Amino acid sequence: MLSGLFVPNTFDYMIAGYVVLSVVLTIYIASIARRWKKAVAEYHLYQEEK
Amino acid sequence: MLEKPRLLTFLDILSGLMILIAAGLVFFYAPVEQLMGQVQKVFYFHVATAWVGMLGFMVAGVAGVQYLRTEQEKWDIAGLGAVEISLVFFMVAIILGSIWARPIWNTWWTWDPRLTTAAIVELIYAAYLLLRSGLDDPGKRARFSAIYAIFGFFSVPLTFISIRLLRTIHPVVIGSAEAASQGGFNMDAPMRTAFFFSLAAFSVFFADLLWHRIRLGKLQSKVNLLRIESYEKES
Repeated sequence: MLSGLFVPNTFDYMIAGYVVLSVVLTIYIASIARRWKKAVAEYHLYQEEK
Repeated sequence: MLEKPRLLTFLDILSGLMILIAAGLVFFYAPVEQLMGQVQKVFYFHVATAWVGMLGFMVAGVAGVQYLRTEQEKWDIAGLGAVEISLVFFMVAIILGSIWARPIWNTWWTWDPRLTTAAIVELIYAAYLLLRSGLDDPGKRARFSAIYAIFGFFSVPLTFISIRLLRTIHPVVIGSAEAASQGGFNMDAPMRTAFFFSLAAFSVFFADLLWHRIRLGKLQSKVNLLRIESYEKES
């Protein structure tokens, strides 16, 4: 019961961890989407040239 | 080639749902660990991202073997995709570990065997991408990358077993812990549920991302061929 009263407040660290995780993974997914879009545009361009 | 397979759309939805459920289990089902407080909840995704990192490096090694056997470009594309994804996830695992360590070990970083070997693994695979970018000949690039990925993988089990063989402050949550470890804890049933579900969710997410990355690699390869054809026509 006493241990429950003295749980350290490490909430900010937890939030920081999940913010880092979300931001990095979002950037990576966005980079795949952006590269895909660019490749599709180039693909259509060269197909038209053909 | 450009049309998205239905199974991939299904995998997108499944992985998104599983990650959301895993987050729900972590935040609302698993209890707050009494000695470390809320920061312990970083553990679930810290281990899951590290697992995906190691899984991807293993996939790259297997793809390397397959490339050397068959010399098919798809294995080179798969190897590159696996390394790229794993580098991102492994980096996240290292950062999450550092954030967890700050209130528990009172430092962001220490040259502990686990942390050191993890940093070495990350650098080895970052060098893989540098090596690739330095080679112009596609065949040579794929061969060197395959060999590099196979040998590079030897560093991964070393990281995994480092906390089980060497004296370290990094906790071993599953299996016997080193006496000097700090931040270890016993998982109760809700914690175990959140932990194993997170591992499963991130494994599905990895498969989903890898599929997307392979599709991208194949399309980029096709575009490169079309570009070469276009230049040859012009000249």
